[in-house]
Amino acid sequence: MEIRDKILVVEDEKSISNFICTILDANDYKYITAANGKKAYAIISSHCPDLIILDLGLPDIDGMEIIKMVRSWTTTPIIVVSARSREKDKVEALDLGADDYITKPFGTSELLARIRTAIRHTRTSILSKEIAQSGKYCVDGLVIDYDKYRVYIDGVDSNLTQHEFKLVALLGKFAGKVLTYDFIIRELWGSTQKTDNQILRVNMANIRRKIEKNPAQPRYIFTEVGVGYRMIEGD
Amino acid sequence: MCNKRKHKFLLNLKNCFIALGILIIAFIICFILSRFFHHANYCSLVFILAVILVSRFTGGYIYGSIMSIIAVFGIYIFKVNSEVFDYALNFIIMLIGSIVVSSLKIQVKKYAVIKDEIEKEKTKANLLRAISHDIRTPLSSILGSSTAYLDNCGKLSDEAKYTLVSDIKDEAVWLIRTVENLLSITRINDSFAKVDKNPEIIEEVLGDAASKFKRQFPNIELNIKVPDDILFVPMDALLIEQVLLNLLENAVIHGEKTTVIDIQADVNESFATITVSDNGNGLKDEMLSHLCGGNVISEDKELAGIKRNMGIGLSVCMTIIKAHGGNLRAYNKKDGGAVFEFTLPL
Repeated sequence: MEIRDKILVVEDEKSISNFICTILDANDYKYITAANGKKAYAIISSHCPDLIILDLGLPDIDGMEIIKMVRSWTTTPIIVVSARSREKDKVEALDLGADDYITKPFGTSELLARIRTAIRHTRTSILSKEIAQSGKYCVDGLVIDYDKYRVYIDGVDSNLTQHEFKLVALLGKFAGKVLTYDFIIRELWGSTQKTDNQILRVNMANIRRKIEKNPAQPRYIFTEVGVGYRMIEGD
Repeated sequence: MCNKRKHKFLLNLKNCFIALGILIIAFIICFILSRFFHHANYCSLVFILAVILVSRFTGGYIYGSIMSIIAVFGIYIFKVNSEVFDYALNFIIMLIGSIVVSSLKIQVKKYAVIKDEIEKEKTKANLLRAISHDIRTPLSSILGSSTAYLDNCGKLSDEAKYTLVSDIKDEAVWLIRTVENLLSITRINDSFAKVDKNPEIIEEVLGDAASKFKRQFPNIELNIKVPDDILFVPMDALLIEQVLLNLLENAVIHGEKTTVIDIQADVNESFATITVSDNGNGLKDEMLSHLCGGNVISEDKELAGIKRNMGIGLSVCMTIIKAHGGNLRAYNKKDGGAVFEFTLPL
């Protein structure tokens, strides 16, 4: 028998949790629901779900608190559901350790794609934390060669500087996941300067001019306005 | 907060100068007149006038009242009266005069504020009417389709069920678009003047808007051109994205036969220009004239009804761009298709 991933849906709006569960059921996932934070917390500690879909606006506990509590003892992937135009919430949730976010209103395929990415990432990162940093990442004509510190587009070296390579490599390592500006800056520069992401963005603009045909219609690295960047995920 | 205090201080300083200026002029006039006349009755008249002028040109009661006291001393210097009673009378008359003028001025100010409020309420009411009217139709359709589905679940063919549900979906998509628009207006501060601007790279905002649009309309060809140099433009990125999405969706929905949309960003010394042009049917004359008037929410229900959502979408664009200090204009291309062009100050 195939082992089905168990997903916890934390959502207080019954109609929304209903349709999420219908989607999950139709796509061979097991699901549990929790309508408030306390119940969610109890289920997380007793059932150990493989993934948590978390609405930030719960009646009893702030969603951010739940992320903090869960992250203090487990790496179970968390996908945050939030309304658009609240990009600060998204950034905060991601920085607290949420794995991804999805914006209401969302479609079936978008939700399923996020779930697959999040589950795969925790699996690979547990098995091979180091392997991702060597070898190659290939997607759609783009090759990141971690051993040679080079990025190739359709076989042609794109002449990235060392810094630019580090940025692309980082995004490649977490392909499919949004990385916030703060996270990238901390990883690359080790600096805690919170507000200034201009250098990062200028770097990104330069990279796009080297690896994308049209920097305004990127194929590989996408901007999530107000949040950060996301590298396209390979198959 | 600090700014407010500074502003108040400057206002007080200005009032002081006005009061002082009028006082000095009054003294000079009295001095000159005293050379030509031997009696000094005119003096009290000059000072009464001075007090009234001060009350007129400064705010509140304080300056006028202080001026009345000083004016009594002025009259004393020119020795108009001999009795203490006369001075007291002069003072009372000037004080009453200044209070009356000040209170009149305060009333006028209040009236201007009320008028402004009424104007704002009127715009809001127009917007609300347009929205309610627009929202009712899809809601009725959703209610109708879902009731039809639930009540006749057993009797309907699969195809009929599919049609009903996809109708519900289409209407819901439309409703969400409308609500997103309304929400984005609430991001603009109450005075309809300020947005939270951050420097954004123009290609990132265009790119993100384009990929969101592509998800909805995968069959439309999008061409985006940006300058080779990295271009930072101060803006609220989410709001400008909303503008772009509105313009793109309008191009598809109202252009009817649109297949290609071009987006271009240009820059000169003081502002960036973003152009969205399509190869659809172009804009109708009445729409163009509405746009030129800067008034896209028509009170005329007919027009708002025919072009569902066009009104709200465009008026949101206009509001957002005005709040950024830019401009939105529209025209038709010679070879067909509509062009929307907006500027953002650098």
